[in-house]
Amino acid sequence: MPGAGSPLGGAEDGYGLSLKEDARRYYGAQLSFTVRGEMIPNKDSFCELDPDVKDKYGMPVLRFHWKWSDHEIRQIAHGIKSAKEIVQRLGGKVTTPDLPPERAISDGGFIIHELGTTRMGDKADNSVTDSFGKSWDIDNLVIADGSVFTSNAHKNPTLTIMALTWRSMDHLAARLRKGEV
Amino acid sequence: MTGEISRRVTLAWVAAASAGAFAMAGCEAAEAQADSAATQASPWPAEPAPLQAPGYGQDPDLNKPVIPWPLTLDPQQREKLRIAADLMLPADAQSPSGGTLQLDAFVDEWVSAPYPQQRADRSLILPGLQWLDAESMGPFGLDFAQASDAQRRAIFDMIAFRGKVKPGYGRPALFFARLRGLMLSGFYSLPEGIADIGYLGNKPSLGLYAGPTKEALAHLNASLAKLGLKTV
Repeated sequence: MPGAGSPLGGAEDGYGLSLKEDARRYYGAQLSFTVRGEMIPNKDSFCELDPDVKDKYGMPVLRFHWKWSDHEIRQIAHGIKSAKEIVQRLGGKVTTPDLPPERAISDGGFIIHELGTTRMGDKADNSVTDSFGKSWDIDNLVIADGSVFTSNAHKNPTLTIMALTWRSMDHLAARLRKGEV
Repeated sequence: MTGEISRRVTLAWVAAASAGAFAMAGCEAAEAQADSAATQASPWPAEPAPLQAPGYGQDPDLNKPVIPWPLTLDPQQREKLRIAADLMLPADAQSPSGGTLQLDAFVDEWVSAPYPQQRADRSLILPGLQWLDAESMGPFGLDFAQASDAQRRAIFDMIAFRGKVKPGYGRPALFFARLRGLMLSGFYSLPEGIADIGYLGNKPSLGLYAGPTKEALAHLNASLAKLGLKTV
């Protein structure tokens, strides 16, 4: 839908019949690319119990640490380069300012798919749950939400969360039937 | 479009125009540059008092829609907007003029709404309309509405063109750019404007998607072949 205060994507200039001609020329003549990618775990991103802050029940709250790694920065640099190449190959002109990838990347948490922190894995020493979401440490605890993700996939995670939950519950039901829980 | 435009229409318009980002950074840079030079422009009028008006609130009843804020522009302001709309977007063979399409009603709805972007625009556009009178009164002895189109164009020419803003006219140029953006938004979200640019989107398709037409597919394949890519 045509709209916005800069409807010609910055090509607005002057007034009168030429402005109408420009509208015919420039409306719908812009393409934009959003570069999205997967964030993999890094040692600077984790949560822990806060040593000082407690909630109203006196329980320690979670404290988060978070940082982009070189993987994401390089991924963005590659994405920007590819998007520019596509525009150029189509015969277009790149009009966005040239930002270094560290500045082009959105702030952490801006595009919010909160995932991870109790990731699943095949060993107790590098993960919190097994592949059925069952805690390695507490036998009757099953975690069934986005926290078992091992990376932050760039796509919307809800369907995967539902599929993993289904799988975890099937496994839990089987264990219940066998009297294991 | 004839007769008095309904609030409902201007609001639908405002919603359409809001559906996108505003790119003003370039204008602000231009302003800073222009204002470093000697100033000859009429003084910039004071900003209007902050608008006190109710908004929709957190949970409006969408089945019984009401517009809680009143329109605030006076007939003189509306007339100046109509004149500006006609000059910015004059009638030609493909569409009527901005004034004919009552873009003044659109701008009134916009600057009377109690939301942050609209409040910010209000404090630029209301002084701007007042400034047009002062800038016209100086050399011509007439306010903007009484001046001739040639005289009005003489004012616009100092503030309307990128890279050619008269030194000292930075703020008026910013006002002009913002008003032009709103006029364009209003104009090209109306049926007449949409028809003018041949915009085809925003239409629901009924039933199963039948796929592209033969012509569209041929066009796509010709483009892909030209780029050396596999055709579909």
